[in-house]
Amino acid sequence: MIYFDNAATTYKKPKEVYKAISDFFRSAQANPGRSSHRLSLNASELVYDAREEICRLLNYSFPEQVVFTYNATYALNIAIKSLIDSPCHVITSDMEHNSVIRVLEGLKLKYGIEYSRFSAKNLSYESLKKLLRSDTRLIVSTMASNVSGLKIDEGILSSFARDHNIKLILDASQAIGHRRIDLSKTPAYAICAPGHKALFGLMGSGFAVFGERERGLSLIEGGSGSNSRSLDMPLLLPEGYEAGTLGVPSIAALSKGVRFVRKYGEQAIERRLDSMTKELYQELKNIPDAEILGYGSGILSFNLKAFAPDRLSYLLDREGICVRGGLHCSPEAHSVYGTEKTGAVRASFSVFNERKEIKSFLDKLNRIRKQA
Amino acid sequence: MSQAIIIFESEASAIKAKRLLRSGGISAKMTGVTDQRDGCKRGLIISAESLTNAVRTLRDQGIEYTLGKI
Repeated sequence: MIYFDNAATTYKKPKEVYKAISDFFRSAQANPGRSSHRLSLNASELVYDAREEICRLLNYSFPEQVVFTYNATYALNIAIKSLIDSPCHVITSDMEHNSVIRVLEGLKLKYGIEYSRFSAKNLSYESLKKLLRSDTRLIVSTMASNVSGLKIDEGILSSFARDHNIKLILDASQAIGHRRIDLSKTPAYAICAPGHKALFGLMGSGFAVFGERERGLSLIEGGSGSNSRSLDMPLLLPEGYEAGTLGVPSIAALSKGVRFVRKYGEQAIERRLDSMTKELYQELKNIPDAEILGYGSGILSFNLKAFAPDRLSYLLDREGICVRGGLHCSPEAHSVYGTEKTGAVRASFSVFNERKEIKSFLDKLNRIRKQA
Repeated sequence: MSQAIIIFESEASAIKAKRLLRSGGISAKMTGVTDQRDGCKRGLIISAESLTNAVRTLRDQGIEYTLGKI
């Protein structure tokens, strides 16, 4: 089997990740932040280790501002909704995943917010200025398109947000783990990410790193293990946003995944993924009936004229190749590329993919083409 | 040896403080504390002789705490 669906979730994980899960069940299988027996305290230390690992990855000094969630969507919901309970204006990109667009649409219905989109392909400080309004409260943007891999410069967004006293929320789902992110240079109100993609954790893990110690509006209320007599969620992070029991086994795995990424080096990973996507691009562009949407960030999306993307994905699966066909939960991005009706086929790599798999993929793709 | 306890609102703060104190050579053991007014908290048990140094370290780092009784 060849697995080219790493932008959805990584299949192969570093061996340390598998070990972390079995270690957890032996030494820390208890609820952190609640009891004070040794297993519970071990679990607490393990969770804090993960907060520290994430901070080292992002060059950030406040582990207590790392809030664990169940995926990037949860993190984005918590971050965006912590800021908005009245009409205001939001700036976002034209490459957003539904984890941002549906949240904004929900806030539009609930509070009457309005939002404007910038062109990710043509992002500049000036282009943001044209969208700015007196009631603009937030910029929320992906750092890389999950459809085309197009990279968005968080430096421009961060500078603009700082200069205009606007909060910035970054969706790092397709950037973290294979792109250097330095929160000391590009501060944000929050950066949200999944744990199970390029950080090699398990599904059911994600986080938001906040730039402030005190929470805003809470999205989910419940037990936090602290301030238990209070009827409100604690004001301080991380507990302020971490209602209920955390997914500790997946956090343990994520911690080791992050350490693996740091050891390998995000820039080395980025180079490897860029060279693989470029190699695939060079081959695909010579196929006359192939239409390539774009490539980058370990992602390349394309269509073959004679095949609907879901059909092509199905045929590739029969050949032992896992890719994702369709809209990738990002119809807005597909609109930019003119593929909003059918979507595309997306191949996405991880550092565990090998070059020979690209050749095998192309051989099998050509075999399918000849059947058309 | 007499002991002192430093109490934190947030478990994350308690672990941060514990690691900070340990890196400065102050041994600290984390425990649960049930405060009658505010409910569950985390505490760090340290030797009474270390208390002055510990408090100075926490203040320098801006970590909020209260002192409790053992």
